[in-house]
Amino acid sequence: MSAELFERLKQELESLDEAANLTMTAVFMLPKALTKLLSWIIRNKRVQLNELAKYFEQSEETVRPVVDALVAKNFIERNEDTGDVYYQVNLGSPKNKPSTTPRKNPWPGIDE
Amino acid sequence: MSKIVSIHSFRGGTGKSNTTANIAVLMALEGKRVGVIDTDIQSPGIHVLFGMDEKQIKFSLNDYLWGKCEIEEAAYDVTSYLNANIKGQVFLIPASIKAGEIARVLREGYDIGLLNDGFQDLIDKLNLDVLAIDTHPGLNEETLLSIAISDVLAIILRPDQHDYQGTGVTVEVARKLDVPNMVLVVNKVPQVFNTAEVKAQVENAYKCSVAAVLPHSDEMMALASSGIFCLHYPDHPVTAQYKKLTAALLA
Repeated sequence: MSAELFERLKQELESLDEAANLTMTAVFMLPKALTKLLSWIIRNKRVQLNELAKYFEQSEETVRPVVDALVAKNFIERNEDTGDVYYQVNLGSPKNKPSTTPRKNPWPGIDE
Repeated sequence: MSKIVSIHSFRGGTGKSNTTANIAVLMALEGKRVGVIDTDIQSPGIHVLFGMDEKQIKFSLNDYLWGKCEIEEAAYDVTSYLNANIKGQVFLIPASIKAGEIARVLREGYDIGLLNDGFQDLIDKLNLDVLAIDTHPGLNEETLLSIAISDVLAIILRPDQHDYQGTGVTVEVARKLDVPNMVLVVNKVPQVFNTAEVKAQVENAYKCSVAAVLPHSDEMMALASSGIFCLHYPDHPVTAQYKKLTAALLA
């Protein structure tokens, strides 16, 4: 990712509200670079800071504030596993469970 | 290195489940350990192709999504049902066919993050080479997830104006989600059509490679989902195209 695109992504991220109930639809509706980033993280399940730096083609120091902003805005979450820090997309975690469907029972009484 | 392959179409009736089942079996014939997951929770059916009936399904994908079991408990080794000399293994994760359970999913939804965890856990716990996802047609939460996590996405269309438009939408979505590899499959092509022309037209329209052009087949219709086509008709032109698709997906 070029420095220019990276800067644009930073600006786009700043303009976004904190994500509540992050769904795939919400991921898809984000600006293109953010959608691509989150899709890439989902595909890799979890990634470390050095992998994110490689993805952005920037240094870890440059990338860290953006990663922190992604965490603060609830797009990704930071987890530790045996001393290593990993980031993964905060998609439907128990504290932030999205709905996949409308609420109403379309077929009340069936098999119940 | 394991691979996630999603088979998708914008509209129903394109042959997603048949294609998924056939490529899974062809991969297993090559010695691969393949998982097939039916994420078409609203209208499941791929278990029929593998000869499973409702009574054999103790746990389904629905049970996993409702926290009643681990994902691997909803996986069934269907290799022996295929009555063929298969070097690898095929595991099927069916969705529930019970009307009440389908209604419950429609009413309550489920944790989409859990589905994502389930995909990854299946690969790890069953030591899969390939996880093939049979998706729900169109776009919703689970199809967006299936597309996003795919290493390879195969989009199926018929030579039909409705399919042409819908496929354009799916291709656009896959591009925005930055899917690493995407191929198109044209299915149920009337035998009067020139397949080379169909391939060229579709590739030109979507700027995407067509991995296979499958002719309409009376044998496929007559088999009526009672088995895996490539095992019943190993020398059929449709099977040749399934093999071509399988090679493209594994490349």
